[in-house]
Amino acid sequence: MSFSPRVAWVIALDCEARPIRDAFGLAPVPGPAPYPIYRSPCETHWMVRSGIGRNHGAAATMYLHQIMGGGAHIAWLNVGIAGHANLPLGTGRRVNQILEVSTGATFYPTQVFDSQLMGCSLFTVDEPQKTMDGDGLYDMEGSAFFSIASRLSSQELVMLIKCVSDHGVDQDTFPSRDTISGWISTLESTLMVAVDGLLALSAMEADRLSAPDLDPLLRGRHFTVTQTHQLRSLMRRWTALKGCALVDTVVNPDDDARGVILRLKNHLDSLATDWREP
Amino acid sequence: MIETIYIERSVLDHPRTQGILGRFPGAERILIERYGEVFNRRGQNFRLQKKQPALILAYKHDGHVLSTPPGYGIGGEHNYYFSHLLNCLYDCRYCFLQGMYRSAHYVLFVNYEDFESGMEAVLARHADEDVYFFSGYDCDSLALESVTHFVADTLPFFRDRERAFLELRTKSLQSRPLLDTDPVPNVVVAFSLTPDHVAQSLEHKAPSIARRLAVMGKLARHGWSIGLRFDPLIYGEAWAEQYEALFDSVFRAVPIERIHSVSYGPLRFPKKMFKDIVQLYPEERLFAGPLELAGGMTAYPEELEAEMAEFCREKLSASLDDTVFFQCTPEIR
Repeated sequence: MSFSPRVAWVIALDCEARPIRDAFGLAPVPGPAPYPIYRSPCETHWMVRSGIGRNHGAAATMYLHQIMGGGAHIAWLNVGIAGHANLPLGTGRRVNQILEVSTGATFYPTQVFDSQLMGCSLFTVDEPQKTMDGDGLYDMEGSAFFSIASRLSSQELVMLIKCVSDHGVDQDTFPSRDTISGWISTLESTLMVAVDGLLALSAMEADRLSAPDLDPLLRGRHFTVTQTHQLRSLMRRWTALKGCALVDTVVNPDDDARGVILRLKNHLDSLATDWREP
Repeated sequence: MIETIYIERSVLDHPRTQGILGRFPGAERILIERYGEVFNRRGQNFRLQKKQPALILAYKHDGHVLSTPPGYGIGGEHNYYFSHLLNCLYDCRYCFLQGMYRSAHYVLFVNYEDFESGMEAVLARHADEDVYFFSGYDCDSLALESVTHFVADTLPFFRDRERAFLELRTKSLQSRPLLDTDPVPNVVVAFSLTPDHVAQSLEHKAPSIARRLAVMGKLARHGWSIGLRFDPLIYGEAWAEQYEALFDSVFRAVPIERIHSVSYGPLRFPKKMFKDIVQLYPEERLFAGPLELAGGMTAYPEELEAEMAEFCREKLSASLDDTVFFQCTPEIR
């Protein structure tokens, strides 16, 4: 698993995905796949094109997680069109509340950085809506995406940005693919801000979740499962108190597993933190 | 300061809700049914949320006033706490709130009058006896006062009931509601203190010790009773010298006759809570210190705890009467 910061994009339609792929330099990952996958050369950005509906939204999110090799530090971003009763077409909104209409389930994406986008509630429905009530957006994937993505990471790392595409579905006036791509393109600077915020959070989580490297101490010694847990805990303490200092100054090459644990514990217990040091 | 406010639909029209919403005209407002659907949800990251907590305005239905855990108190026989607010503006690394709730959002229960009814009922149960109420158990009593106005609203209740004692536990500089009124003899403003360098390292977002001491002095001179809370005692290089320097600063800032009580207590976490907090902050030096697990609690070794407590007691005793000391060793709920 890679502990570098990452953003995973889940996008329903190709016309929504195209401007994002262009902006962030994502290219197709070759090979057969149930959902098309794209990634940037540095592998910071990954994208899955899910298709329409809750089942596809959930399955594609899970699939992308597998392809990326997992990691609870991954930030998840769903961008796509949504209906709204009266907001001007092309308007961008950040989702702050989701109601899954068929089940009544509610979700609350949490914003912990300034995204420069106004918040709005979202109704996830199973059929395109001909009429829209109230002040909410309407889509067909949001609740499923959030439900799955917030299990894979934490909800603060999951964001939905919607672009108003219609005021109720009417095939005669529904926007063309090019129009949709154009609207998503106009959100590019907003998406950049969102991505910067999410990558910063992802980096924080990557730091938190990356475990100290035990291999140099495990190599050539037999540690039981319990001893491995003890060693992991001691190395967490070592890193907190001594940073990148090498354990070789404390551990002898001929120490067995028990000896390593004893030496590390005695050394760490003897240290008194100097709170005057930052 | 507050970017998002969740509002339980049932309290939307409550005058206190409307007052708070009026103070944050730019905040995003999200209507909810019950606060638990936001606050208690799985999959939240306390550490990330602490970067920008939201405010949740809710109605407290029951359990307004509860008994304190054994060992928690400042000399009274009957000790109760109430939590009109869950979570804290500050981010102190030793605080059990980090491991208590899934969310870092602030929950404010706006039906203050029901907390007063609860205290009235407790007072009736202990007729003619003193009863102590603690407000800073799940929050800092004053840090969000500019939002809640809780202390300003509640002081008259205590002013009218001499045998109801209130401890306001705080690190805040929010002294205005206390300086704008006459002191209430049965209200103690208790400040949590650690040596300056410890505070700088561990008490994130909290005012400096120097500023806290300045406010303590001001409140004392205004006539308020001041509590000193050295809780938890934090071990480190030259801890004794640092605590001695802290005590000297306190006695320079606060007239001794205004010191109502002094309590000190050890750093202790239940096993599961400690595990959760370490997972949140694995790089924290505090959790890499000489802590050990004994009797289901993670704490400094018993001898070290005793040595620190004894030292503090001895140094403080040189200036203060024995009757004001209380050692606080609560079992966290």
